[in-house]
Amino acid sequence: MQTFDGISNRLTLSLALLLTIWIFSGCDDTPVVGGDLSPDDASVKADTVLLDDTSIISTPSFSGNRQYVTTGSVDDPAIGQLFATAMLRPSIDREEGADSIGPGAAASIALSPDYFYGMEAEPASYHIVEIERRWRSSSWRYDSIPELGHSVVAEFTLTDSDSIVVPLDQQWADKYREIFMTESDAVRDSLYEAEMHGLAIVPADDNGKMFSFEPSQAELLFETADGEGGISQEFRRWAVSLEKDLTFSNDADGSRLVFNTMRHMLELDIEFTEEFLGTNNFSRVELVMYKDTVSMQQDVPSTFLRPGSETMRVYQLEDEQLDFAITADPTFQSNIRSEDNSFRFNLTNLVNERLHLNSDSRKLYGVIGANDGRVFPHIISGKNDPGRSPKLLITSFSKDQ
Amino acid sequence: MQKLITTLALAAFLVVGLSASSESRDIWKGGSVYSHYGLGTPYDFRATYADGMGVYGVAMHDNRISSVANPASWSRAVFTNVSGVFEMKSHDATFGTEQVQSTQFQTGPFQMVMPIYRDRMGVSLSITPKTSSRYTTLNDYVLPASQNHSGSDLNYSIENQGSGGINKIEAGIGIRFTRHLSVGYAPSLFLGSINRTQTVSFEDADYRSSNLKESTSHYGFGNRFGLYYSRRDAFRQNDRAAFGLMVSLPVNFVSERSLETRVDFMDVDVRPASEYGDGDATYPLEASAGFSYNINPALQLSTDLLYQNWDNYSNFNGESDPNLQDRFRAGLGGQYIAPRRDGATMFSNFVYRLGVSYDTGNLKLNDSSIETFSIHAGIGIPSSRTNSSIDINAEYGFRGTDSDGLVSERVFGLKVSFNLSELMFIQRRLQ
Repeated sequence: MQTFDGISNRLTLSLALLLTIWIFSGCDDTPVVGGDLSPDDASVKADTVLLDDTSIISTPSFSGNRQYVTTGSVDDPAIGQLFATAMLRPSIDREEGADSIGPGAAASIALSPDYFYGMEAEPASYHIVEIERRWRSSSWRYDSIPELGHSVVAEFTLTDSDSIVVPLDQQWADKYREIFMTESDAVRDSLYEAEMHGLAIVPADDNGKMFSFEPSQAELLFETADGEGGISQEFRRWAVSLEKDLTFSNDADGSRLVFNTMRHMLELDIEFTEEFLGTNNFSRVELVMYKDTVSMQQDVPSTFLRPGSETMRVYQLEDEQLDFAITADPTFQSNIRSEDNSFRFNLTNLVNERLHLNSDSRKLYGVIGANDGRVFPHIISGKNDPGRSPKLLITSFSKDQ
Repeated sequence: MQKLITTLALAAFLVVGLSASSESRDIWKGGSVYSHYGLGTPYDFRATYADGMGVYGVAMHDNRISSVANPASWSRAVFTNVSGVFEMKSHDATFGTEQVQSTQFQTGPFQMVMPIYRDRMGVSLSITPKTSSRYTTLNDYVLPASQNHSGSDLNYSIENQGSGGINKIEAGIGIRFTRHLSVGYAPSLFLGSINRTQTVSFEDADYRSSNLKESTSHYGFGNRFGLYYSRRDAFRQNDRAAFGLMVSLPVNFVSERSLETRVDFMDVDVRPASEYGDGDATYPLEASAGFSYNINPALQLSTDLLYQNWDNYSNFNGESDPNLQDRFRAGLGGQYIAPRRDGATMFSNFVYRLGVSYDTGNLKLNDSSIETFSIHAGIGIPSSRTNSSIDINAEYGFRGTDSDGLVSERVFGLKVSFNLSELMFIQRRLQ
């Protein structure tokens, strides 16, 4: 009798083939038809959450050995008075048997001013004075005040951004030469540390203009009349001291003044909760802040220059991190959108993670511009301007009610 | 050779057994959009011989093949039967001018029937799919520029994917009280979950795709009763007539629902089950009655009617579903069991089955019942030395309509059943 056993080989093979075909055919199909018959009960919604509760916090911020130093005094009609001192300390290093400064050599400082802040065409005068007290660039804060000597080592007037060479007082040059020519490195270093604390460039009275320059590109030059025994020394330490007398008020409902120095940062009090955000399944969450161009131009003459930055940075910081904010890297950066002078940050992943995956309690802080020794004030629109107040633009995917 | 059959069959049973309880795995795409409603599309397979004839099988019994159609029939068990089913189903769907095809591979019931007293009392243990929800649809949307933050129209689409189903784990007993009359009872545990995942994706890459997965899990205890009456020489010599009746009482589900989304490869609660709610859906009453007639030992005809009270179905919120209606399914078919003869050709030893069925469906959409008309055919390939067999059944059906905004489906199904039938616990004296 030919039954199951008789045909088993052929049948087994056929079945195995059939099953294989089924399995793979089942996997490959991705049909989509009849969508109207299975109506979606979820949809995409767009909402706006205004961030009314913003404030300005002050943090200790360090200015030493940043890319730039800034000096000058400016009375910004929109902000108030700013007074900056640039502090420089030239190197005393000497290559053994090679470097020497000839007797009577004249000293000067060569620098390239940039980023002017103040009246465009007005000349501004600066004094260079000795710093009277020891200081460390690594711990120098913007709000630290240097102790300066009364005698002027040099003075110069600046109108535009051409490179300048500022001759220094011969007495200071001789003093520097004397220490420099000390044979013993140890003695030279200790003498220099004890007797010369560097030079400060300060505005002569209210000179009306600030400028910045890169100390790494500046030089201390020594030249003799016969051309022998001249050297150039680089600057090893530098810092900025910044004093402010602001007329701008960070009213409760008004715009907010921030500085790139991080001395004044905008604190965004965002609660990462469903109650605050209104939903909990996000397709996009965008933080938007606007530059208050109206306030920044108020009473400002057309010839007034104010340097600025096109980049805003947002940091995530714990309260205890505020003292060390200067060392943190920004979590988000955004370049200004020229159409509406807004900064936009994609917080989608952050919000999803904060809401669903962790209990990170860090707050968000915003500043415009890098903390690089320059001084850029910016005003950010507040809730008195509802259309331009800080806000979260939320696009969510949620069940219909 | 017998070892090969046994090995193959056991491997098949193992696969079926392991996968039967995981019917709701979200692996296969496709399916029928009609399985979106209620608890999914009702699953009707109850016995391989009945399936090939297009009937439910409530009035049928075969000593060599197990059936979950009627608990009373287990009283007639002579052999220990174990069976499992693989199924391939292809949907060719037409919606307006759109036409797509999908193929699913899934498992059917897994059952073991064992005689306690041969031909007097038998017990059954089974896992049976009751409903299946598998579909994928895609809808496109536009959120106007005035209603979104992008500054222009925001185009997005939502893929709507259903998966899961309800399974039944059942243990039961059938007792033959008289020479002709048997009754059966089977308590069962219904359990399963219906999942619906809606995934939004945007044309604008600045927007992150996200999803919402709603999972509604159910469990409940069911009770099923059966009656089977069979009489030889009922109308003439060598014939046999049988009548069967089965009633499955409504099952009150304890239901729980959760809403999740996926963030960084992790499922997180959008609404935890504790908040999103407990519910109490109801699986409806089910009844079937049928008649079968063996004109002679080789030729059998059968017809039966299945009724499911979906009109009284209540969903998770305890509400009735206006899209559901009572379901009637009628089948009529026959099988030819060739007598085994030595020297016969291969095909003359097969069992041949043929039948038709009509199903009103449990859906009424846009005032149209989603009816199905199917033709069924099957062959049974018996083993020469045992009562084991492999059955292959096919069906081709037409479901729904492409008018009234509905989907017309042509359904092709192919099932392979592995049936082990042995005299277990009895030592053979003669080899």
